[in-house]
Amino acid sequence: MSLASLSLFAFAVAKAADFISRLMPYRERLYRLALAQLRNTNDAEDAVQEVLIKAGRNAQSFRSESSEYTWVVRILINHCHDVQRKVTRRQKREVTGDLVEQKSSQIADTRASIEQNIELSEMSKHLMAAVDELGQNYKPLILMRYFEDMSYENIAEVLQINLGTVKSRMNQAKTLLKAKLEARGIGGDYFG
Amino acid sequence: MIILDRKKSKIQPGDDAKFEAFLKKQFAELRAELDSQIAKGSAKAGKVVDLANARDKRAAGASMLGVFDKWKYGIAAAVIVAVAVPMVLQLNRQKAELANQATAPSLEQGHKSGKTLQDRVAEREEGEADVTRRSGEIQDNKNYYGKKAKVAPAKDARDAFISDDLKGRRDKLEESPRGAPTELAAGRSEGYVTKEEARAPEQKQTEKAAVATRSRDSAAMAAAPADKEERSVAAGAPASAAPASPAPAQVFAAKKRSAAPVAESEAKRDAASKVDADEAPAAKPRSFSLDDTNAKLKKQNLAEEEKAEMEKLWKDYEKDPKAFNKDQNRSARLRTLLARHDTKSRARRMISK
Repeated sequence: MSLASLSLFAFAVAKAADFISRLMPYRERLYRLALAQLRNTNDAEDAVQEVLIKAGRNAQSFRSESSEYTWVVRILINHCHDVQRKVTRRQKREVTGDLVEQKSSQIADTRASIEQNIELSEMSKHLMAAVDELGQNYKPLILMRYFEDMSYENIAEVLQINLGTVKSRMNQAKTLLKAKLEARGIGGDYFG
Repeated sequence: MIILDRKKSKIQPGDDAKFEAFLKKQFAELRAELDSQIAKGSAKAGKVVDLANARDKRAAGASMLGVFDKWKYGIAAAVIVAVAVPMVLQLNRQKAELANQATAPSLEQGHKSGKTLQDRVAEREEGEADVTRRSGEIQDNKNYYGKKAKVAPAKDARDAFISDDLKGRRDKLEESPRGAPTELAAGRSEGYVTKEEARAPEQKQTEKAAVATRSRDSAAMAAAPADKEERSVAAGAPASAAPASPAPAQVFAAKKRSAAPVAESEAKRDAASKVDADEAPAAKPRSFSLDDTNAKLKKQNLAEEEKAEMEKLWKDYEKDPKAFNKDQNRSARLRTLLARHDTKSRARRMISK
């Protein structure tokens, strides 16, 4: 290995280390967001670790066009999508198997672990369940907007879509969420 | 009805603001609950780990290396490696360069010795070529499984001290399958004949002639021992070390051969000095005899006579070339003499005229 390539490698390592060290303050927020997305503490913890490693590896591709947190949140959301897709596929595979009932009960138990792991109020449980039912198009929007208090501009950056698209999707997401909450008996008494 | 339904389905601004406030409030509560749960770490089925403090805890019996398993130490180690390794490499390279400069001949020394850069480059190229040639030779000789290349035998050290003529003769002997020993060949005198030479095709003819001239052969036999003694003395070797004397017929043939070139040249130059090739070897001794001297004198006299004749004819020719050319015999004689003895390019002048 020549001195130039060694220097480049050393520079890349130093830059990645520096980038990861700058992301450390956001770790708890990322974990919370991952927990809200995945609803499982183990998955959320793994997700945060992997997202930080990914961010360190791809620190060279960070162009400083957006904030570091926005960039990492985008990585985290994409990663959570992947995890949820895998979980959904695994559930489908197991449901079509022989031990359908037994497995489905186990799956229900494991996926509802957030309620078992963390003690939440009834309202919070209903809210998380309703948000979880929104799907991949709207769930990140609601979480980023209300859970992380991100602005529309930041959301547009994270999701790499237009600001108008963010606003319209947010409107649709709120309408859906409202319908879901009303279906759960949380209606006019709370926001009516 | 349809219009009324549409009006019902529309979200009112007041409703949206209330729902917005509701969402903000509920999510804030949810966040607080999660934060509190995470901080407490009171999960039941799965433990929520406080990542900030999780690495600080060391299990009982675990090594102290666990303490160093931290982001900070990792980053510091990576930075140190990234910075220190290239620096060390660079330092080593600089040291090597300095050492090379110290050992290499300086430019001033090159100037003092009068060598230019081109000279030094040429020297280096010569050295490289020499090394390449040697390595090639080594590679050629290292072919253990193949047929080994024949190495040319080194010439004897005596080569420097013997004449070219003797070298040629010795080489001839070495080339022949049944050559005489080298030390004997080196000491041979002029006119010495080997067995191989005596067995030449001429031998057959001489043997036929030998039957008819037996009396002359007996005379040659009488001369052979004397020659042999003479040769052995000349070589400084004992007589017993000399090769066996050849047969009389062989000696005769060899003498004939050695005398042949002289006889031919003389026959060309002068018909008067022509000697019978068959009789001459038998009559003549080996070394230059009185007869040879007489023949030379004869030749010289004849040449002088011819020159005088040439001068005389030339004078006549210069007086009146046309009249001289009319006599064809005289003009032909003059041309012949000019061709033999002319040193003033008269023949050319004569032809041009």
